[in-house]
Parts: sequence; structure tokens; C-alpha cells
Amino acid sequence: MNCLIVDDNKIARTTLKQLISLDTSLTLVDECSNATEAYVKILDHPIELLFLDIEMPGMTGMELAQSLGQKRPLIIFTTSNRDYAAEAFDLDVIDFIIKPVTPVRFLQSMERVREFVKNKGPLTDHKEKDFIFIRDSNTVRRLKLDQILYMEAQGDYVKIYTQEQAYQIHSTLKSVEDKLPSSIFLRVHRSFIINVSKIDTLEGGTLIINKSLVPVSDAYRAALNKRMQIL
Amino acid sequence: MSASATGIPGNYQLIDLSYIELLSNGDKAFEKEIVQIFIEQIPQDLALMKAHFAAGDFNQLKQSTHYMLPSISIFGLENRLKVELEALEALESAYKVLKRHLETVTKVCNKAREEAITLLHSYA
Repeated sequence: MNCLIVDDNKIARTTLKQLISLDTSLTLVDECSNATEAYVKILDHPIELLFLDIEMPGMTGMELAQSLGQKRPLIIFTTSNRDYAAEAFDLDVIDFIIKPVTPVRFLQSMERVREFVKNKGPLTDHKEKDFIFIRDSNTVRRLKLDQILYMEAQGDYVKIYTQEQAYQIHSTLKSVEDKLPSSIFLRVHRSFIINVSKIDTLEGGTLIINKSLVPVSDAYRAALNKRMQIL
Repeated sequence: MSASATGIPGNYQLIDLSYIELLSNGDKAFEKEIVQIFIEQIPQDLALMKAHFAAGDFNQLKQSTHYMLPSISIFGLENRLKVELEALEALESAYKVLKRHLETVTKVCNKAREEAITLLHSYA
């Protein structure tokens, strides 16, 4: 499993390297002293597991975790401050370890990683669920991905359209995009994400999905054409 | 009292090498690397804390205190400096108290660094 250390403190990185050497299933790809450097590295390399410090100058570990979207590897937060635990687990991380990390605690954490992989399948598929949960007014609702036709940004909200009805959630389109599998959904406009399999027709700069018109902006046209694989 | 738990030689009053020995499992190259980093890093960290304190930039002082924590805890100094470090991170104490805490951290870390230098010389 390819892993990356992100920590601004050299002594912390060095101890983590030593711990990583205890587990032969881990391959340390690199170490980064800040989150921005790590962000670039993750976009360019197949990183599967991140050992991520939280408090760093500039972008924090939390911000890095939130910004990675579909490219987000599994994350183990390593920090000197236990106050972040609740917030960290809200980000669906594998573990939260307080420094200095003991070998026993490290191996426990690796066991959690293995358990996660075993239950969820290959790491690269860990986001490929066929449903999402949305908060619609006071109800948390399960919505199957193949029910979704398209989504539209409306101010601080995103409207999710299905065949039967539309749901409004308090979120940004970017945040929704990050949580959905890119194999099914595609951004076609600053304000629209579509389910590619629901396209009925494409006429000029407009898609028709279930009798609704969805604009396609020039910036996304090439990506759309590629995905549609027009014969 | 010697702070070395097992194989690392020397008689140290401040540094506790239990964690480093636990991690190294006899890997002397690793032990040496960690000690070297500590020796190099501590003066820079202390200088930063002092500069932030002198400039009255307490937000930065808090950050630089936090930054030192891994070095301090890895060398077993955390309990010895617990009160001081917590105060410097919380920033709720009076200026004079914070100043005294910073002086204690500086004194303990500098002494610990001297011990680390002795330890480094003991490696072949």
C-alpha cells in the first residue's frame, strides 16, 4: 500500500518513517512538510494511505482532507492535540493517533486499515457506493445514485432532481461533486452536474434530461463529449 | 537518575530515551538520526518562540509551542514541561507568568540538548 507522510515537523516525520518500516505491506512514497506540497503529490501519484498532521502552517491537515475529493486516500490523522478528535472523525478518517505514536498503537491503526479494505474492497473503489444519504428538511433520506437525473446549484443550496421529485440540500455543488463517483456523474456547467446515463439528447449547448433543459458550458464540453463516446 | 531504559549509554537527568529505544529496536542509525535532528531543531524552535514572545505575537507563540511538542515528547520532556507548555498554548496566564514559563522551557530544552550532544558523541 502506497503511503505518504505529511507533517511540518522533521522529528515527527522521522519517527513515522521508522514506524512505517515495521509494516511490510506499506511502501513510503514520499514525505511532505506542508499540505500544499502533499496536495500536488496526491494528484500526481497513486497514494492510498495518508499519515496526516493537523496543525501545519498554511493549509491544515483538515483542509487538505476536505479538498481532495475523489482523489482522497485513506487518512490517519497524527497530531499532538487530542481536541481535534471529533472533528477529525467527522471527515471519515480511518484513525486519529496522538503523537508520539507507539509501535503498538501504530500497528492497531494498520489493523483498522486492513479491516476497512477487507470490508470495502480495493481502496480505489472505496467511494463507489450506489447510494447517498441526503438531509432533506428534517429527514435524512437514502437516495440511489441511479435515481438522480441531475443537480443544480441554487445559492447556498443544491437541488437534486429525480424522476419523481426534487430535493433541496444545504451544500455547495463542489462539495456534492466531491462525494459522488466521477464514473457516474459529470460537471457540465458551473451550476449543473448530470448523471451521464440519464442524457436523452444533446442539442448544441443544451442537454435534455427527462424533458428538462440542462446547459453545457464551453469549459466542460470536451469532457462531456469524451464521456458520451458519441458514435 | 539515568533516563536510559536499556541499551543507550550515559547518565541523563532530563532526557528519557525509552520511546526512542522502543521505536529503534536496536537500530542505532535511527537513534543517531533522531538525536541529531533534536540537537539541530531545538535552538531554532526556541529562537522562534522567543521572537514571537518579544514581538507580542501570541498567536504565533502558540503555534511555535505546538510545533515543539513532538521533539519534547519524543525525548520524554513532556511531563517535566507540562505546566509550562499548556500555559504557552492556552495563553490565559499573565504576561509575567508566560515569560517565566518560556524561560523554564528554554532552560530545560537547552540542558536536554547538552545531554543529547553527549549522547550523540557516544555513538561510534
